[in-house]
Amino acid sequence: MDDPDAALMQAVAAGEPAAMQMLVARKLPRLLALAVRMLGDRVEAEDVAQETFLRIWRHAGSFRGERARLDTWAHRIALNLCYDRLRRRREQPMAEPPDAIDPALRPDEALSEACSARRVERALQALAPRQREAIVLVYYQDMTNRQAAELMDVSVDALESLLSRGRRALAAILKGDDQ
Amino acid sequence: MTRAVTPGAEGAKHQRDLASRAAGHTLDDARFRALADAYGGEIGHWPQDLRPAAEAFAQTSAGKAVLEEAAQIDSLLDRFTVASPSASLQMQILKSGARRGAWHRALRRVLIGAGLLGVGLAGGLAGAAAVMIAVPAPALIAEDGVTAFGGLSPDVASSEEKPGLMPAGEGRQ
Repeated sequence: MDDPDAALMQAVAAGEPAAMQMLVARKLPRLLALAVRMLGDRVEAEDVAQETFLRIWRHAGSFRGERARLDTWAHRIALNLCYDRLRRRREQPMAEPPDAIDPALRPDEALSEACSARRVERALQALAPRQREAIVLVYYQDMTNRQAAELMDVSVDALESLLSRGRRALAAILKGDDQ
Repeated sequence: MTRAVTPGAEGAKHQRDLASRAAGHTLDDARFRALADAYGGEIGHWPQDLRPAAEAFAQTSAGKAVLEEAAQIDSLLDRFTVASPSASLQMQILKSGARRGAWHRALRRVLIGAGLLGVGLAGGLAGAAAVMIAVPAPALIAEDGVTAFGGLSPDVASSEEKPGLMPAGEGRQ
């Protein structure tokens, strides 16, 4: 397996600051975007991104490129951290229901571009987490169907089913907003 | 006499040809729709091996309608953009990496130092063991009764010189 990041990881394992900088520049935007879209919360997503990098630093020396690509490995770490947080949210009783449950607009929100982005964000958060994960990996993270299916530990057929159900549900939620 | 082909009829035939070409690559209407539902309206994002057949089916009116529908959902998804990471987040992450790197280097130095010390100690012990084996320890009691502290035989001469130590009656005549 040819991993374009393998040499970079060796340099990171040797503690080279320039390699760390390059790895952050290369991976942080993708990992942060993944966490933001999975959690719908920027602050939590930044924590997940930081924790993901801590684990990358910690395990850089033992990283073996032939088992998994760095990108897939880092995505797996970030997704696990996201699911930990989603689980904690479910377990912790909240004084107020989270925003993400209701994708509809608040009356004070104007119909601007930013506002419609917020609608989509809320609709995405209203999906089942596995459907959201499939859409995030394939549509936003631009992974191939095989990479995403492997990461999610499902068959390609199951991935396609999650994707199409997720997209249909998203369209239905947003259509419901308009009515 | 050749029959004139109307533009409409020719168009319909063309559509059928395109559809049958796609079908030749095992991509029928239902499969095309399923792929668009899953991967969206941009065939460039579909599985690579299916793209040629999909491109062919996309030329049909049914294909175009399916792609248009899927593209509407894509345009909704495109609205959810994520701002780039802040400089402070990047800095925090790099600091954690630098700390980890410094700790790792310090640990390595300690381990190398400990290793050298261990090698030194092991060398010393091995040397001492070799000396003990090769050179026998000096005997505390030699065969002739001489110890490291002197002879073990009674010091007769010295006792004779002391009058109080002489056997009783020997001095009396």
